[in-house]
Amino acid sequence: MDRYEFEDVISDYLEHSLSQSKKQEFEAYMEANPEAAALVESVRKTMDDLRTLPKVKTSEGFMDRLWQRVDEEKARAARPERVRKSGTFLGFTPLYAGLMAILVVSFIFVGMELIPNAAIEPNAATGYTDAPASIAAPALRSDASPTVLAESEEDSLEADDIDSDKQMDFKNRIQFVKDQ
Amino acid sequence: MADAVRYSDEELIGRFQKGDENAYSELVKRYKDPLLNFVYRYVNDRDQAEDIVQDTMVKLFTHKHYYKEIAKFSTWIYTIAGNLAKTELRKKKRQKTTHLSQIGPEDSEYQIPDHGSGTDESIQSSFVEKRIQSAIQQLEPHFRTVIIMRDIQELSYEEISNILNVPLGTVKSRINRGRLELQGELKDLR
Repeated sequence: MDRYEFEDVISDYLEHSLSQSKKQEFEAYMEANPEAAALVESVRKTMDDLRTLPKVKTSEGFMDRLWQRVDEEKARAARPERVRKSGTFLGFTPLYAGLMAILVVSFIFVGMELIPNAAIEPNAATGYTDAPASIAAPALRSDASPTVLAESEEDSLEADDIDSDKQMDFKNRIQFVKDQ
Repeated sequence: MADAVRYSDEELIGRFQKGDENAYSELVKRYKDPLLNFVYRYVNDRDQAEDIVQDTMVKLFTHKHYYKEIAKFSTWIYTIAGNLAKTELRKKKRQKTTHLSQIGPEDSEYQIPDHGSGTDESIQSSFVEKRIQSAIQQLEPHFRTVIIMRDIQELSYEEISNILNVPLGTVKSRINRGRLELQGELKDLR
């Protein structure tokens, strides 16, 4: 048995809950180490001191005061529960109720902005309900300016020319196996 | 309730749960002093300890149906008192931290009941008690609780384990460590 083991079982020894073999080991250690025996005696004395501490008692008015408090508790329990706590609305303080109301209104507003407007009739040309006609079918616009239309045709012609040049270049460059 | 001694604590709480207030009164009589002793040694303030015991008894009245017969009544009532005492001690600690500058020399004194007589023997006994009470306060709360329960209240290891909801082995080891620390604090008394 070493010092740590010895200290761990001091209470067990003093409360007579050590096995016979452990008890003999413990007592052998005490005999070999007088300071260990002194420690055990000091712990025993401490336990005795604690046990003999004077017991405190409740004051004379204890029971009267207790019954008074019990009566108050009974009266409180008998009182009808208030439906609404003062200063609150549905359990919210005015500040939180206000913030909650603002949040709900904002949520509804944003939600309405996101929902497609059912009142817009489907576009006759595209069949889309929400696509503006100017984007969906520019050529069919009745108010489209002829100049703008001409410019767009010219652009498309130029683009075709470039494409055909490129094609010609490819013809010159591509060689088939039979050409060789 | 003249024949209350015939009833066990568990029977009394059972009767109280059915509406018998005499049973409540008997339970209070049985436990008010042991609980005061426990709480006083824990919080080290006589008046505060009495208030905590009052709160415990009021809780017993208002929460009587929370007790289930699976546990001993003493375990249940000690748990309530212990929790209230811990809460009070925490509050006290916070207040002390907040008002550190207002601490006077009287705060370091411990309130020990006056035994009156004033003989040498009683003065000596009062001094020893003061020293022991002071040494108990030096212990860490988890050692202090088990030492008070075991060596002052003389509760069994099983009861302490149930009240504190910690394993039996932990209780035993804390009691042993607590005793060693306490004897170290009280060495000069020997």
